[in-house]
Amino acid sequence: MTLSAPATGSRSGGMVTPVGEPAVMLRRPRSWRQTGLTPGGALGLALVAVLVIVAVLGPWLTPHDPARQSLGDRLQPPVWSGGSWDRPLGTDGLGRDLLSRVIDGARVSLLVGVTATLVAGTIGVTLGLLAGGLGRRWDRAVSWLVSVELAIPSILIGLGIAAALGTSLRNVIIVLVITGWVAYARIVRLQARALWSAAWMDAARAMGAPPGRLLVRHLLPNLAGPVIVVASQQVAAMILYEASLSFLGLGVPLETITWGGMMNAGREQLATAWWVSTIPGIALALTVLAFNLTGDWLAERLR
Amino acid sequence: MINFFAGRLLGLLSVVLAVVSITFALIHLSGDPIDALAPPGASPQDRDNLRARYGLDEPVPVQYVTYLADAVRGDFGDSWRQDRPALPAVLNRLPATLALLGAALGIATVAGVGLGLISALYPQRLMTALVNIVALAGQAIPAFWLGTVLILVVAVRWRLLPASGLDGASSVVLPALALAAHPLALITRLLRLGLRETMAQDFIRTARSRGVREGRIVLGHAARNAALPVLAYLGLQASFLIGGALVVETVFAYPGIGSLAYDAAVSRDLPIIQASVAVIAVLIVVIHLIVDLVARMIDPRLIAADASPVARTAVSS
Repeated sequence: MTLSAPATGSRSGGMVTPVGEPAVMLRRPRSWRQTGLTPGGALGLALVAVLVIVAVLGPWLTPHDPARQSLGDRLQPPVWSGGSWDRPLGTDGLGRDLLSRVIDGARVSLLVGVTATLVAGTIGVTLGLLAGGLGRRWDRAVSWLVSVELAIPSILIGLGIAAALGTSLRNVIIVLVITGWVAYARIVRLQARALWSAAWMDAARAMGAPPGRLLVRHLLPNLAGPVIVVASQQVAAMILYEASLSFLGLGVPLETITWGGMMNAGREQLATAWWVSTIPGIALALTVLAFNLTGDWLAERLR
Repeated sequence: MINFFAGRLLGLLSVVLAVVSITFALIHLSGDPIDALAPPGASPQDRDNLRARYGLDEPVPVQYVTYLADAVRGDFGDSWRQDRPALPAVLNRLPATLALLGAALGIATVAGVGLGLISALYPQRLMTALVNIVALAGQAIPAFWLGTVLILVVAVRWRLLPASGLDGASSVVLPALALAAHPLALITRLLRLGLRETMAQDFIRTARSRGVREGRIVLGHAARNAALPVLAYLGLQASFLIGGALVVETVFAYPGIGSLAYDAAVSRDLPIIQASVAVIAVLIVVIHLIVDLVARMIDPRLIAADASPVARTAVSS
C-alpha cells in the first residue's frame, strides 16, 4: 500500500497545498476529474460539512428554543403539508419546534460519534499494532478478543450496560467503544503484517531499531490511510448505534435532545402526525449516508 | 477436516465461556447489585434476605464459580422481577427471533442476489446507478426507522398487515422487511464487486471463447466464485444482523428475545439479560460454524487449506 500524503489533506473544493510544494500545485484543478472527487464523494463531503457547521453553530442557528413547549402550537405540520414558515418542519406533541430540535440533536450525534470513534480508534489501532507486529502470541490473544466481541451484538451490550449502570452520555460512549475498536484492530493487524516484511522495515531493523520504535515510528505512519477510511465509516456506525439506544430509551437520558429520542417520542402520534418521528429519521439517514459516501470515496482515493 | 472442526469447536467454546464470564461481571459492575435487585425503600432486613435468596451474600469468587457451574448446566438463576427461571424464559422466545431472522435473511438473499446478478448482466449506467442507490439507501436507513415507516404506511394507512405482535406468518412480514434492508444492500454490493472481479478472470474468457452464453457464464461460472466472500461476510455480520433484529422486535412489539431483553433492561432484570446474551452468543457462534461448513460445500479448495472463511474475514476484511 502506498500512501499519497496530499490526498488526506484535500478538501471538497480545491487542493490544500503542503508547505514547500512547487507553486504549480497552487493552480486550481481544471476539472472535477483532476481533484479525484466523484459525485458520491462530493455529496458525502458536502453533507458532512453541513452537519459539522450545524452542530458547531447549533445554538445560533435554531429559530426557536428547542426545549420550549408551546401547547397552543401542538403538532403543527411542516410547511409543505400546510404548516407555516415560522415552524418550517412543524412541531411535536408538546409544541416544540422540530427544526430547532433536529439542529440541536445533531450536536449529540456528532459529539458521541466523534468521541467514540477517537477512543475506539486509539484502542483498536494499538491492539492491531500489537497483534500484527509483536508475533504469534499477541496475534492469537487479540484475534480471540475479536471473536468474543463479535459474539455479543452491540445492542445487547448497550442493554446490559443500561441495566447494570443506568443511562448516561458516558455509558453510551463506553458501549460504543466496546463495540467500535474491533474494526480498527482488524484492519491494522492485517496491514501491519503485510508491511512487516517490506524492504524499508528490514532496513530499519538492520539499523537496530527496537520493536517499539519499529511499530510506532515506522509502521504506524504508513497505516494512516486505511485507518482514516475505517474511521469515517465508523462515525456513521457509532451515530447509528447511539440513535438506536436513545430510540429504545436506553441511550442518552431523555433530558438531552437526540434524534433517536425524538423518533421514539413521535411514535405515539405516528398515525396523526407522521412528521414528528419521520423528520429526525431523515436527518439520521442523511448523516449515515454522508459518512458512508465519504468513507467509500476515501477508500477509493487512499487505496 | 474433522480436526479442523474439533479445533474450531474448542475455540468457540472458549469464546462462549468468556461471554458467560462477562455476563457475570455485569452484575457487579455497579458495585452492589442489591441496589438494582431490591425495590426502592426496602428495609435493610429485606435487602439481606434478597441477598441470601439470590446467593449474593457469598464472596465474589465463590459466586463466580457457582455461576459458571450453574450456567454450564443451563441454569442462569431466577428472574429478578418474575418468579421464573431466566434461561427457559429466553429459550421460549428463541423460535420467534429465529423466524424473524430467517425471513429477513431470505428476503435479503433473494433480492440482493437478484440485484447483484442484474447489475452484472446489464452493466449499463442506468442499471448500475439504480443498484447503487438501493445499496446506499439500504445501508443508511436505520432498521428501526424503516420499521416505523412501514407500520405507518402498510399497517396504519393501507391496513394490509398487522402492526405489532405475533399472530401468524403475516405479522413476521413487516419486521422482516425492516430488518432485511441492510443485509440486502450488503449482499448486492459484495456480489457485484465479486462478480466484477471474477468476470475479468481467465476461466471466464475461456468459457466465452468456447461460446458459452453470457447468462450461463454469470450464473454457472462466476456466481459460485463470487458467492464465497458474500457468505463469509454475512457470517461476520451475524452479530450486527441479530442486534438489528433485537431493536426491530421492540418497534413491532414482536415477542422475541429482543423485546424480552429490552423489557429486562428497562426493569433492570439482570438474570434475563445474562441468559439472553449467552443464548445469542451461542447462536452467533453456531452461525459462524455453519457458514464455514457451507463455504466448504461451495468451494472444496477450502477443505484442503483447512481454512475458516469467517475467521479469515473476521481478521482481514
